[in-house]
Amino acid sequence: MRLRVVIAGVVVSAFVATACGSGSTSHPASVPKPAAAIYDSSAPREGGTLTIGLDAETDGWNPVASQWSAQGYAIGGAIFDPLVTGGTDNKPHPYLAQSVTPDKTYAHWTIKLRPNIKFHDGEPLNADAVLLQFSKIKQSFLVGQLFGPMVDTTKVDDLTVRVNMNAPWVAFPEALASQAGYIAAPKQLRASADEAAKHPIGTGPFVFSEWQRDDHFTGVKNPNYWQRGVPHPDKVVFRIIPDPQTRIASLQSGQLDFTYTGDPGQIKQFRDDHSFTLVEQHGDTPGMIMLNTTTAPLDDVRVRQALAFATDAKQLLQTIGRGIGSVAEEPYRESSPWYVPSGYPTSPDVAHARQLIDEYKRAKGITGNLKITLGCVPVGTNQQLVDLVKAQWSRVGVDVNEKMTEQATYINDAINGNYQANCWIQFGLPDPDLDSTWWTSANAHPVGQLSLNMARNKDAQIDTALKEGRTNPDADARKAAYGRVWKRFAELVPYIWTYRGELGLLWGKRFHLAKSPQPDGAEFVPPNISGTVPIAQVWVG
Amino acid sequence: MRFVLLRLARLATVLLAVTASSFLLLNLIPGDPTVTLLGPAAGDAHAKAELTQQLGLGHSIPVRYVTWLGHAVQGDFGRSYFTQDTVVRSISERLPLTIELMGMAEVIALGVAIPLALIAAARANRWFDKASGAVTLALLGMPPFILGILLIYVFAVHWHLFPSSGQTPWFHIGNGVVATPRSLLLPAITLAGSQLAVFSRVLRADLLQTLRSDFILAARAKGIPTRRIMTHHALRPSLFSVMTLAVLSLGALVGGSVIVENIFALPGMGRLIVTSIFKRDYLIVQASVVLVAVIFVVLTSLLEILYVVVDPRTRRSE
Repeated sequence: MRLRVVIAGVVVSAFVATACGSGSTSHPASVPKPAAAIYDSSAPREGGTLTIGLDAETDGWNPVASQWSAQGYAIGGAIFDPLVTGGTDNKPHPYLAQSVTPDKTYAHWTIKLRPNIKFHDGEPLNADAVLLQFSKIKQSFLVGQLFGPMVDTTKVDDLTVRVNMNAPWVAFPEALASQAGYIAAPKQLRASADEAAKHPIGTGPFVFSEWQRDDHFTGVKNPNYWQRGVPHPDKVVFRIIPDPQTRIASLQSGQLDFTYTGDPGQIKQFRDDHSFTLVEQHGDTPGMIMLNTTTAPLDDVRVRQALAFATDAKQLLQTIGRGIGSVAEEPYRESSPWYVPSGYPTSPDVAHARQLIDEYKRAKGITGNLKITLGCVPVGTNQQLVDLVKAQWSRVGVDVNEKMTEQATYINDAINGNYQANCWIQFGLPDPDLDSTWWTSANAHPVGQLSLNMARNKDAQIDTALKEGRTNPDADARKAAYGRVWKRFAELVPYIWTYRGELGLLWGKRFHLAKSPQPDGAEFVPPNISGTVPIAQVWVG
Repeated sequence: MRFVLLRLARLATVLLAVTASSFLLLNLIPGDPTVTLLGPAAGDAHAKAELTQQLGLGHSIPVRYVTWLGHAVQGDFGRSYFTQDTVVRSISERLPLTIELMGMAEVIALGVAIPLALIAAARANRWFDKASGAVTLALLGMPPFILGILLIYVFAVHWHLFPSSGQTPWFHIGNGVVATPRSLLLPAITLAGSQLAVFSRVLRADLLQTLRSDFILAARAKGIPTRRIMTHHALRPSLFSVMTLAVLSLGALVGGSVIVENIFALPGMGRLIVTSIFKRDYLIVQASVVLVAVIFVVLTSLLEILYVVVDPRTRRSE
């Protein structure tokens, strides 16, 4: 389940939607380790309606064209199945695929599908269906970026597909756990863009029944589901309730069986309310202030380092996140297998920051304070964040002009380089390779040109390390390579790390989790930070 | 006939003014639907230019307005940039729920305000009058989102009497849903809160004024009971201000429905307008503005007819 939200990395908006506030629901999933008490060992009750409350609508249900954030994955996972999914062991597990195996070079992969799986329209899941989806992936600007190394695909037999890369790609299975790896029926993929977005046809446990935009999405039990004995409920309803107070009230009044909150106040409230199950999970995705390293004065590393020393992430966490979460110092948190200490300053050092700024001003002959524009999306607690950062940076002689911009323009400006410093939430995907698009020098272009490396940070050492991370199958070597990337981030400061929020998953007494294995025998990941529910495990009653 | 023609002319003038100004304002606010539609690909100048062309956004604002107007008078309001549904369909899916919500709110506001004002005026400066004055003052000062959350916690979370969010379909009108009154009661009360307070205070003041009239003195002298004087003699001539307010408050109700529909997660016009504004889905917003303007003008015209019904002296004065 962790890997289900991996590709949010491609969908920038998924991150910025709640940019820089606390407890975003758009975080990629972490692997939670909740107490065994969340499972119910009694025999699952069949029937009933499972109602899940989500905080935002999704633009459509085409896995290769729509923009799925956490909410999209929650619903998409009920209708579609992915080729690969995650497990509690942090490894990819074949799901619709029976196996995903590389050759010795990792440049050629073979995907073998499970037999006897049918889409909801009765068509079989076979190599042709997968090939069609891969061809759509390559045509898609949205998800095609992630599958950049994939050059061609061929049918080996009715259930086997061979995928050829232009270079070794170790993390290919992780990419298949993303949005693009949720296989849609050929009928849906061949339909018009509008039809494909509105009428999903998958192989999943529930069959699409109704979608009323901004209100609800309903699926009914798939009686021919390829996994025997599931799903348990007759119907699943996802309700869109943007207001967090109302969402929680709907859970309390029994209208919802499951929901989540990123509001630290609500998390604290439910710690004392034992009539509901609360599972608290730290986010993987760090908050940050992304710097445009090509515009003065931020094109000078001394200024960027000074701002890192001036920023008090602990104060931000305490004030905005009410102490719920953890201070960030690199793309991965300390408990992650990808964490390698980077040397990034986690405590402010105002004197050193002042010294660096003075040095820069002397070198450039500047008198008076430096001026930097800090941008944010005007949602949630972002205004608080801007105010605090403004105060922190003013202590070292930097005046901040704030710029609040609506989300779509904000993202576009970042990609085109029309910004100086932007509050942002991104990275921390299950495998760092999936984020490398945003870090490689190949994607760093001058202001005014489309640049997926939005910080426009160019560094040969980072590029070499990213290449090794992508191509070297040795896990330790990969970890060391990414460790070098984190270290360069700490030295070059394209990102000023702030903190990771927390999400509280909440469910009432009607909601039960059975502990059943994944198709390959691995353990299912329980409900996770993205708000995603392992739908095949749930029964209501 | 002259009355109808005059009103139609007024409607046309108002619609022209409203649509032109809203078209201009919408196009002047920062943001671009192509950026929202293309997402990260908006940085690709070619893709952006192509989409701009496709959506007809490449022309000047006056040219686009005239083109839009030409289609609109034929009933073609275009398609949503994002869902590709026709604007008429998008609105017809949401409109019944919002009309129902606003209708219920108006009925609740008037249904509570009129008896409240009657009793308060009949017992002016006594405890009931003072208590109702305090309650209405509190309602006036309470923002709808506070009242909404309060109602949710008391009636949905604590007593489980009403749903806290969403709607239960009752029947359909075309593509639109009409919800069961029970599922809309809390949102309707939330929307009615401040209206009720205003109506009640205005009507009470008007009633007190009327009660000082000679014909009321004459009625009292005849020994007609106070209750009958209030309901049969004082109420009717005191209703003008409230009637006017009830119609003019339509704008406030539309604004209120934006908040209430968000709090109660109702898929009505309020939410459609807000999400369309954020996405710069101009055609939806534009058609919604036209709709509100039409309803407003029609209702104000009906109000003028109603004045005559309530007080025939109005016709004579005309």
